[in-house]
Amino acid sequence: MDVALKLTELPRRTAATVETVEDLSPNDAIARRLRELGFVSGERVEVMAAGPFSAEPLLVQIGFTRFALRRAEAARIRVVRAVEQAA
Amino acid sequence: MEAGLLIQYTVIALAVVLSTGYVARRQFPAAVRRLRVVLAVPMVRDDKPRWLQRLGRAVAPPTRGAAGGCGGCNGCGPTD
Amino acid sequence: MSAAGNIRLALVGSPNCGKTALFNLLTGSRQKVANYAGVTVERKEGRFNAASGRSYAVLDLPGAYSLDAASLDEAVTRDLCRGFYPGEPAPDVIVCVVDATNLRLHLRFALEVRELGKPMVLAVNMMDAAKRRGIEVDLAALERELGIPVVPTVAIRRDGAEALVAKLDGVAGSIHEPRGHMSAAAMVDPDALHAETRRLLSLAVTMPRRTAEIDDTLDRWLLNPAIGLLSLATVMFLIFQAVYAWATPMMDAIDAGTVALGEFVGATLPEGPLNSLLVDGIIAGLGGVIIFLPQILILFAFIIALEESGYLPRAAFLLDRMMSKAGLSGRSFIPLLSSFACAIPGIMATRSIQDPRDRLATILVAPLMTCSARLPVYALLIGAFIPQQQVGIFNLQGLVLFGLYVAGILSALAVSWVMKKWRRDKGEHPLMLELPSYRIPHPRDVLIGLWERAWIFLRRVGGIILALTILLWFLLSFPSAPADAVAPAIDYSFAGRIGHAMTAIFAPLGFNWQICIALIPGLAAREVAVSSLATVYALSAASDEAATAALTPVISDTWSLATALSLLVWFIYAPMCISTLATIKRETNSWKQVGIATGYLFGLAYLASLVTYQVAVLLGAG
Repeated sequence: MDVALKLTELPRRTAATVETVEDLSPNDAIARRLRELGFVSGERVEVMAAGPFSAEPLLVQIGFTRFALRRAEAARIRVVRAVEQAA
Repeated sequence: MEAGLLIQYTVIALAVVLSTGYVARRQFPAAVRRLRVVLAVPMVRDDKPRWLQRLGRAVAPPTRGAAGGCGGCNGCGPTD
Repeated sequence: MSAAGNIRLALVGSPNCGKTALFNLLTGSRQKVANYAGVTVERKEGRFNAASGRSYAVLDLPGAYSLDAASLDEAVTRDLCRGFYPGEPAPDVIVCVVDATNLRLHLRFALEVRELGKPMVLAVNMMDAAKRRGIEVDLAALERELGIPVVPTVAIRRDGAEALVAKLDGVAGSIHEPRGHMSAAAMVDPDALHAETRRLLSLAVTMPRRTAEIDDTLDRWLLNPAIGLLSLATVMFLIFQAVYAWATPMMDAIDAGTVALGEFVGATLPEGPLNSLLVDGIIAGLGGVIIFLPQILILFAFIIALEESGYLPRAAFLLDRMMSKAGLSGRSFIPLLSSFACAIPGIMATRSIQDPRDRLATILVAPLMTCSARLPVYALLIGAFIPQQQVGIFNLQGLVLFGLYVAGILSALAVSWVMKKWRRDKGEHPLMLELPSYRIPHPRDVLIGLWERAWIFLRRVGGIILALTILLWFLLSFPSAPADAVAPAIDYSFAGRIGHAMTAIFAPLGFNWQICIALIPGLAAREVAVSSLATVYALSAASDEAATAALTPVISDTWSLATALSLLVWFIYAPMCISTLATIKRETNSWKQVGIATGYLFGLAYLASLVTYQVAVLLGAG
């Protein structure tokens, strides 16, 4: 079974699927907002680029929408590489 | 003082008074409201003549809805 | 229910769905912008008449990603749709606008809105962009599955809203409540909405694989660390060059017109105080400010175009790290950018910043962003003291103006950094900023935006600037000089005496008494400082033609370069705008914050001007 990566660990331009968004603390408002924005299980996600200083923020494409996320926000998102997902 | 000059001074005085009122209303709306209330209250008392009461009602500021600290929907600066 | 024939629509949608362009298309310039009662959230209402003669009132509600509100804007949208908002009647029909190129995100919101159970129409916008990218949307299938009427719209085409209006008119106020619902159990599960969205997408939408190719290519370059920052700097820089290069002919025309008008009125009216009020006061004063309208408009044309193009969040992306180090967040970028127009809506725009510490920091530094009211002051001083020459391929005046803007920005970062150190906070600052698709700005939207700007400016001129000019003229003209006067008459007037008294404090900064007196009305609105200077100099002019001469040559002859530089620096920092301070009070609900803002800004202004002046004098510019 493949271990779910954190989104921050995913290499650039590597397709993956979202598994879950973890709460960092009880009632994590940021995690809830991420889910509302579309980071739900089964969605295709990719890290396209990173900011000029300290690789932050990350440009993340979820489905066909692009967001700028901080590393701390992206770290809450667990993904599985698409190429490893069996048909 | 000849008539021409008197007219000029009258126009100027009018312009100055209107300008002062305008600036006061825009910059200090709350203070202007209070001032109008203070002036109007004694004027609308029952024992005053009718014309004075009418004047007092005109002087009093329009009633404002519940709204919070803002001066209404148009008081927020350059979107005026 | 609304009054006879007047149907109330509410436009809702996630940010970047083109809702505002649709609103503009429907209502043209028949819009009214104000605030919702009790809060400083912008309320935009407009009207239009359909072919059937029925009239519609449209409310453009703040964009919301979700009805589960995370910010005040979203709370207002949610409450208003439900009909709970105090003082606002419930809308008759909710028009939910979605971006056809991004249905995966927007349809989810539409499903939430559908759950409200109010009569609703789905407007699928940007159908043209979708077609160009090869995205096919089966509207009939969507209508069937959602149980609500679905229409295509293309907000950037003249006839782009026809289908929507036809649908609203056709069913003549009898738009049903939605015929589809999620099951009650499903609503508790947060993923249910997404599952339903995916189901709808699979049924109704075909997306080609590389739908965002253009976005991707552009982002590869524009978000690349080196190239991205370089392009950002270049774009900003070019804008300022254009402001000078293109505005000059228009400004010369306005200047000639003002001088001609002044001479005509001066010669036609008999000598006397009224003549002076009109020529030295009103015409000189207002003319001195109106001349800068072309520059303001050109600057704004660029800002609006950038906003429409979708580039600004990319700029926020590039600057986020630097801004966080300074204690701001990338989300502060857009409120701070709005502050380049005027800090007041900029400060109000901070309501979209969820983190209260970031919000406060942004509010406190927003006045340092060079607002449009400073532009006449800067333009005057640059025009008078910076020679019109080229430095390489660059226009020197444009370079200096750019430098002033940069100084404001760097100061804001520095101040914010200091505040961050003071606060010693360790918490997390969220970003989560959407980068929408790139779009070519539509000329119509840019022109509407410019027209609004011009109108705001002219209203200020005819309002507060006119009133203050009259008052200042009065204070400068009375009392008149006694019979044995030796100094110019103006020294004996109220304002003259006050100005001379103020030089005790401001002489170390190089401010003469004319500048001092101009600063007082300048507290109400920065541009008034320019018209005040014009009035002061017109009244102290020795001869008639000197009185109608433009202000610029007068100050370039009588002031030193050191004074001009010092005044420029003063205006970078000084909070010469009572309305801004009042807005800070409203937004923070705290006199302490207002005190901090006023104190630190005036303190910085005095110190910076002092240093500038003294150093400049030492270097021989005095």
